[in-house]
Amino acid sequence: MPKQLYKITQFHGGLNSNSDARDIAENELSEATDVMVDELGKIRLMGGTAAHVSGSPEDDQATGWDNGSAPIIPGYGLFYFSHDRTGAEDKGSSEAITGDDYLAIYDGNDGQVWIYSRVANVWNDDAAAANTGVIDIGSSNTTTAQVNFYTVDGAIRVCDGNFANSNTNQWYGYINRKHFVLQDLSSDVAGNNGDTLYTYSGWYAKDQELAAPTRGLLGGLSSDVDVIVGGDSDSWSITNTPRLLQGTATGGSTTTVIDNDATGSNGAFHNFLAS
Amino acid sequence: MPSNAVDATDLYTIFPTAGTGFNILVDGDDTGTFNVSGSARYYTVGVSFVYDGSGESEMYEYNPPRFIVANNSNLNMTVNCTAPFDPRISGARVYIKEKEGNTLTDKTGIWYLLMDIDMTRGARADIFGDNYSGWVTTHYWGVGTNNTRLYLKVTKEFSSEPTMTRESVVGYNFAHQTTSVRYKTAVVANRRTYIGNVQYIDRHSITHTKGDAVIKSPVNQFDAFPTTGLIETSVNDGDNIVKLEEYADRLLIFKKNKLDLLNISQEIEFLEDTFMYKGVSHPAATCKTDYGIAWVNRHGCYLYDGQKVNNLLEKQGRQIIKESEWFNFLTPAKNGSGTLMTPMIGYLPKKRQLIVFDDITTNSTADPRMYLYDMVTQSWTKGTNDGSNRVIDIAKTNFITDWNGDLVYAHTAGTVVKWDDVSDASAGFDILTKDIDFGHPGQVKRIYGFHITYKCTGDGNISLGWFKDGSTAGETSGGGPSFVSTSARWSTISLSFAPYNCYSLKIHLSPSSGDTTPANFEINDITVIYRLKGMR
Repeated sequence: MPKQLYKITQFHGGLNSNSDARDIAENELSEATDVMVDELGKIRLMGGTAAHVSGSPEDDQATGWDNGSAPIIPGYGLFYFSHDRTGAEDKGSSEAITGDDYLAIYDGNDGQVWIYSRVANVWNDDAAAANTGVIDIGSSNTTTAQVNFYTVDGAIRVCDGNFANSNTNQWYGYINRKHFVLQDLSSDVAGNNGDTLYTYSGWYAKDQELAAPTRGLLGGLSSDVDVIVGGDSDSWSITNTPRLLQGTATGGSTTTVIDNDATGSNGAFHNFLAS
Repeated sequence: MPSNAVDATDLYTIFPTAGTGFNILVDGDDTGTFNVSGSARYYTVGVSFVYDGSGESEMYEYNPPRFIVANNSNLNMTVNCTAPFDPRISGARVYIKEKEGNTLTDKTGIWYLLMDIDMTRGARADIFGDNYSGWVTTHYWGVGTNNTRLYLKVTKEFSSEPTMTRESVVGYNFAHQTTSVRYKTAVVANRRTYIGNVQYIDRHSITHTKGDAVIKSPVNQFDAFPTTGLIETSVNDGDNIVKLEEYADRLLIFKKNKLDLLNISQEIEFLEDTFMYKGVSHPAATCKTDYGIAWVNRHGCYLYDGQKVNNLLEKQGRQIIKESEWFNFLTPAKNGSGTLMTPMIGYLPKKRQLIVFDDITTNSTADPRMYLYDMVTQSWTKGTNDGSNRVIDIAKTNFITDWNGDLVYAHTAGTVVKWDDVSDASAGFDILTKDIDFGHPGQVKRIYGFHITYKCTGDGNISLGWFKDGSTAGETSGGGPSFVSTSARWSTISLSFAPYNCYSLKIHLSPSSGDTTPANFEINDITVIYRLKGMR
């Protein structure tokens, strides 16, 4: 018999550890460690890890992010999001709409979330509070937090999934909103001149939960004293319980608000000091 | 208001604390058509905040006081408040509910939207209209400075009863509202948030912890989780939800031991399938790819592609990674004993590769620490830990895929690293070919030598050996063919030795003892010179 050549030129079948080594395909290997077979016709060495972004979250903390104990909660804490606005890394305001990409990382030491900006190429702290992350979920057993994130419509949410802790879900997003654009009343130009009283344009960290109003009174005008009935029983007397939120005071000199009930002029407050 | 104690003729208005709510002033006896029922009607009021233009809070009820609208009258309502408010609040809604005459008993129990307040523009009666009554500051001084115009009001007159219920505005019944919601996993799909493994407090102040439950938010209300959105595909099964993922109108509900596949393409979702033994032990054990959702567990590695669950340890109907090897991979010493570790998985879109680490932290004591799956060639290779080039054996975060398509994680004190496909030098490099029988398994061959085409810069530090006749022990050393530097060009090295006979052989390449193979070492082909011996 003449000599023959047996050539193995393909390796992209990769590792086959299940079948007998004699029965695996020509392009498979019975051992393949630290190699790549993704490029047809050759074996090369496997890649690894490389530095990704400049700096680290601890750059902006006086005591360092690590702070003597491990800030990483294994398997948790890293999140990526993009946004139309720049400046999320330091909770900035009046930010440009030129777009940016961010990494958010949870710090188990203090329950704060730090953000890296691709555009600024930096991890940063809260511009208004040095050495502080832009989001703070609370202080309940922060080293055991199981944080999870989601993002939608330009805001991220952070929740500690460890129910044994009492941390608070956080919302972090850019708010561009005006509050109270006043009417422009020609007869009242001093106060109501079309001004916008509050303009918000910046990154804010808020509780995720949509808190309900906590205060409020229902009442009438002094011109319509019998519009409100109150009390906790049926058929409450109207005349005995007018609730006037606006009217004419009866005077006084102390800081205690008193409903001048004794005079029969219910709702005619006296003895209160204005702010 | 004056800055001193009031006089008897001073006008007063009472405002709530800044940002906390609204004082509502009612006038219900101006002639009009709001109430034409023939008798006075009684209503109670509730107000909720609107956040981010869509999500609505619980209601603050002004109970027990009621207001009266006289017969043949309109309703005038003025809302007073004190600025500033939480900037996240975009508005508020005023609802009314009719009482059974002058009693505490509800007539129908239904809340109707009376006034839609916009923190910017004012108030309107029709939520779909644009007829706003604007904000007016009522007490001001030091004009020109915002902070001095804190007290505001808006007034609206209503000539007809509201018809839109709160349920139709918000999308769910007030009675199903929840507070203090916590969750272990969340995902957004079809303009809803789905949260899994939840804890919440209901309207009766009872805390519920539901490890089997998913709650979906109403459409476009990503922070509200009413119990009307509660979905429990299976309960009391000794299992808990670990992770939610979404793909192709399906919600993948990963529990520890099984996967529930929920079709969410319609208003009413339905359980499409349940896959036993396809659960995950940790949220980091799933990832999203452009092919579907991939995950890893003790039984294998899987991909849901929108049609079916594919076992990636199999290729074209045959298993390529032995199940015991996979199980061993997830034990610390890779020997099948000890506590199972917690694997994590990530996706590298640039290369369409999945990377599986054996543990989220440092429990592993032996290699391989990772498997890599190439989705194009559908092939696996293994990887070792390397403290400088491949940092695996360390406490680390979950994987994420970033803006650049890089697979990223962080470790130690926030050191963020990415998976870099560029080859690294390796001391663990190890390849073993198939057991080559040259197409004649029953015939003896005489082996004369090998040709290997390779390239590298610097000495390859490669040890060449082979195993005969299916043996896994008693490796024969190649005797030292030196894989010298080829200056990064392909070169063929020949190895000749005293011929020997065998039925089959496996060729083994690995670094010489204590050496490291340089990063750019590559093999193009391996040739065996042989001769079939005659059959007797």
